Amino acid sequence: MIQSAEQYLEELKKRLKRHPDKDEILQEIAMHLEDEMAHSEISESQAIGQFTRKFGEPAQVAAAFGAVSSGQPNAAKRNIVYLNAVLFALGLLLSVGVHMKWPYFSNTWMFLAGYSWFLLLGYSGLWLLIGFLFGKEFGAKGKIILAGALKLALIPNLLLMAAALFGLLSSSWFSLLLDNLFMISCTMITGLFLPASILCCRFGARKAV
Amino acid sequence: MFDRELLKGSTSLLVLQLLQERPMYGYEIVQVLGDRSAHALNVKEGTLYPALHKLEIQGYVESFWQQQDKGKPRKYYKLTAEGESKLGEKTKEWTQFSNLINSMLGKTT
Repeated sequence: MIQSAEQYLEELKKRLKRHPDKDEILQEIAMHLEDEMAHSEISESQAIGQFTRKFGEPAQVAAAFGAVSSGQPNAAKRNIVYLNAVLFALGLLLSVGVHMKWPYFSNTWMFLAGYSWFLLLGYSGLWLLIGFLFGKEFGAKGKIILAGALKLALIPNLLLMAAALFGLLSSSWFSLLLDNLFMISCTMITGLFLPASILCCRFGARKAV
Repeated sequence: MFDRELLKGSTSLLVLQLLQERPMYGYEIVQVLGDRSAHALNVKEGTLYPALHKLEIQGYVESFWQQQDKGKPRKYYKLTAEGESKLGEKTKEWTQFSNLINSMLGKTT
């Protein structure tokens, strides 16, 4: 049972653990607590009980702050870069496996090649969804955060595309998947990722509040 | 008192509305909200701060610390241009929704 303002703040401090905004949150809530106490005419232990009922237990307050931190935009950016890096690495592994004639890789490649347009649409849809979610989560700032994340995340895609277009990679590596039409479509669609994701981000931002 | 779920979705709208008038700190927001609604709208105070922080991350409000004549500095929140535009958008949406519900309820009573 919390008996004093100091004890409440100490408990909250423990619960916030490694929250990046811990000090600022504690300072802000300490001021709120001070105001509440200053306007109270009852004993501190009664007042803190009243405060806890209105404000919430330290564990509840810390949990509410758990999903909100100034580190969120950077974490979201990192996750997008990692997600694309994993997808890219899987694609690369598959290409190498086919080229090296590793067992099972050719069958997988053949299977996926039958759905190449579907894969392209699915991958594009993923970026549109990410755009929408960034808008919903980060509101007015979503566009800037998304643009930063996309520019970083798409570096491997652009490098690979440039290498394929300028003949730095043998076309035999992708011959089953990359006919000319598909290659041109990939280039055009990749060029549209940023504006299309930002458009979806705007739709998402409408749901932000 | 109202159903908490009804209030939950409108807390951010009310906060943006109050901040349109002037920059305020958390305790002040709670007090003004309580006074103006004759204490019918009692926001769970512990959820107000995460909501304010979220609005700040989203760019709809900005915060700044201001030294008081007496005592420690306070953290104030103020509306940004994006917040102003979001407030207009959400107010319009809310008005349309409540008009619709009112007219539907009016028809059935």
